[in-house]
Amino acid sequence: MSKNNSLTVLITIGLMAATSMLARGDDWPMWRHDAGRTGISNQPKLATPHLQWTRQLLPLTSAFRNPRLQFDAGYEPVVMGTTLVVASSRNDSVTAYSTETGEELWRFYSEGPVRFAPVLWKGRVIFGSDDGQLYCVALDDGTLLWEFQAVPRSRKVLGNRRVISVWPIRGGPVVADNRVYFAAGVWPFEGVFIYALDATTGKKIWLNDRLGFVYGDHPHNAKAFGGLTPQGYLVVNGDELIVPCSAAYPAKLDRRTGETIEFSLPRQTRTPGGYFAALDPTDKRDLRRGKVTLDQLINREEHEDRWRTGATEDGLSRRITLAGTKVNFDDRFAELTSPIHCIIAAAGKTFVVTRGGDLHCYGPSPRSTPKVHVVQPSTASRSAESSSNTGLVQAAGMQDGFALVYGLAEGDLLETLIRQTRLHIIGVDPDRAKIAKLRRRFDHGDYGTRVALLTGNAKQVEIPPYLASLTTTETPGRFKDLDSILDAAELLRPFGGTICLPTDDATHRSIQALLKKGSMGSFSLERLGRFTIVRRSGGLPGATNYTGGWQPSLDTRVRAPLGVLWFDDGLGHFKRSPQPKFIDGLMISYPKNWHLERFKGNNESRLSAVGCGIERHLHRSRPR
Amino acid sequence: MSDIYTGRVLGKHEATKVRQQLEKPDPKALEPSQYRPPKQRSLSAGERINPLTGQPELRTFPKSYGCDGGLSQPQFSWLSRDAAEQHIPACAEAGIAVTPYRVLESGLLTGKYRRGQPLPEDSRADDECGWLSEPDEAIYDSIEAFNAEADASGLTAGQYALKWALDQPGLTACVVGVKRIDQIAALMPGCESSD
Repeated sequence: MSKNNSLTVLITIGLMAATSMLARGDDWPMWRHDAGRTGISNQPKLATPHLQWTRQLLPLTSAFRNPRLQFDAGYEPVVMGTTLVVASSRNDSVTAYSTETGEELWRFYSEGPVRFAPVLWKGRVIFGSDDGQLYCVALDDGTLLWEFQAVPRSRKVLGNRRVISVWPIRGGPVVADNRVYFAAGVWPFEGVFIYALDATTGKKIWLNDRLGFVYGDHPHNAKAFGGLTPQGYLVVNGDELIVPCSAAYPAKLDRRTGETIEFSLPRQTRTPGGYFAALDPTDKRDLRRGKVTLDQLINREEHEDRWRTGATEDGLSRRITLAGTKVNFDDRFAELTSPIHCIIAAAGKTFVVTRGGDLHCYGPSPRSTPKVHVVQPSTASRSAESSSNTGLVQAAGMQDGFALVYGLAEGDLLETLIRQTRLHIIGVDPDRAKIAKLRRRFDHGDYGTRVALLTGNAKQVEIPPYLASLTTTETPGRFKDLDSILDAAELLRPFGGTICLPTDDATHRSIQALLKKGSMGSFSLERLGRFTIVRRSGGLPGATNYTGGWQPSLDTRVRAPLGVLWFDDGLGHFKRSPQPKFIDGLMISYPKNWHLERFKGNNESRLSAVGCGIERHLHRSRPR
Repeated sequence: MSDIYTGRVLGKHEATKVRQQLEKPDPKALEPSQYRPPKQRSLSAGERINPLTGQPELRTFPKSYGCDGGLSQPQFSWLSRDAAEQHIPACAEAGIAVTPYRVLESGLLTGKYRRGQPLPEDSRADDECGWLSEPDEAIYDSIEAFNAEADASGLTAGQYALKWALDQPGLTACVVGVKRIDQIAALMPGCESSD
């Protein structure tokens, strides 16, 4: 490096350090402003807000439908200096924008949805991802400074309709006293990990992994193991670390040692859990007692069609306080007509995020033509859909489910699959640069919703079994040995999952010979045009259909120990409806209100009252 | 309809064949108000196949079993091998951990009980606590056969009793009771399983 270059670097580092130290009073460096999640800032409310710029962001869909778990219902910006940062659960990224212009400064992709707002601290951006990693990147340019694998291995599940770690980071990070605290894992019996790391270096200070196996009472007089399921933003309350939990009241840990101070399994008499917990300095009595405050909009539970709440405050999560003035998200703001998801104030400005995903910046002075940054449409053309790729789609004959593409090239096959099928596509390749380029290519609406890319080879990525309705490749040389084909075959969905590879006759014959040596079991091989097709027919050995009638299941496959394969709350069909049936890999179930006769008395009015109650609640706590 | 392998809810255009084959539930039929079989009178919630016996039984504790694998603690030792016939293989099949107790048979398999000699002081049989009565001739026959095996292995009797148990297929760990800390150290060589 030349002297001049060295000097440039030194000056840059000097500037970075100077910027880092500028954690000014009007920053908004973490979710709800500070480690206590108070939502209180000294910056005054704008007397007359004037629109400075608008940036359209792609709308988000929350992981869960449950109103208690709307931690990722919308964008949650954070600001330090003149840089605004937002995380996205849609395109798995964290992006920085200029607070002055709304221009994008940099974007960093992780290997899974980023569902919690980052923490900005001393020139660093610290955030966790559903991929089980905690990342620290530079605020100035998004360069990776350190990353910490919070989970035992790279095993994946389908979680909330995405391929993510078995142990996603759903305990949103908080920084205090040079330490970052966060939590990974949402299934107690798979393991729950609460960490304190040195925020500068990413080195572990303590780990509490003992809250995933608490034996005790569960509903309906059942005793079983259960535990903490950290989902929500962690809170620092003096020497205590508060870990919000989906069903139970938040856990309390000793912030210095990680030892558990208090945690109990959920029960009827306790306040229901939820993602929200905060310190509320306006409640002097609670503050004196060292209590955290919960929100009645979130920490409530519907049981037997009745709402149950505990000691909570109504609407705390929907307001902030600016220089002593309360700002309510449900009140009208400037000329905005769309419902507001959140408001923050920093850098002398006020930033408003709507439920639709628009980010508006308001300042004290008018701007003649506020810039509007729109979502750039995809530049892909039909020419990317080559006849070869179209032939592959037709030969495979798969239109729905999940597709695995092992080995990527230019991404044209991904484009074809997006346009010509309804498949959700997961591309896997060890080349980081290629993955980065392809993520940008598809990041115009399709990334995260139709296609997601994972870095690594098949063994490193650990895709969950039985996922793939279609497995294929953009680099046919990828499948040249028996192991790679058998590994891919294990990931095929029973009842028709298909590997479709473009091959010449010689390669097809060699695959045929390879498979003859191996045990094919319920797999079949065929030649269709210039494609080699491997299909998994029938169910798994030992698996049986179940056609209801309260008969014992004869399935010999589902045996302890069990592990999570997928999770979601898209269906809630398991109470007061006909018993589900399991036929050829499908579950046939019925919703709770599958017929109106379920309700006694005036059926229609009762049903409509319940529906409105839920709708009202949704209106206040999550985007439409 | 949803896919049991991915949780994906199927679109209306999918699985039309299965949809056509399904019998439509009678909207006027009464469904049970709780998750239990129709017209059930007892508190149990249907039947299950017991993973240990393979036999059907009432599902009285539907949420307390299965999900975490659980563990079973049968009595099992060189002297008492009944559990090896059905219990331990069934647990292995069901993925249930087996951690037997009394692998030293309250001291009978530690070499301190010898035919024709007085009961050792401070032993279970000597303190008449009810845990162990004075061994009879048949038990002494068994103990002597056991001691011969232990001698051949080069281990002390207690170490061999522990090692023998740990080497049996399907065992996860052994629960061993001791009176003094030094007894743990003395048994440790037996913890080195042949596996």
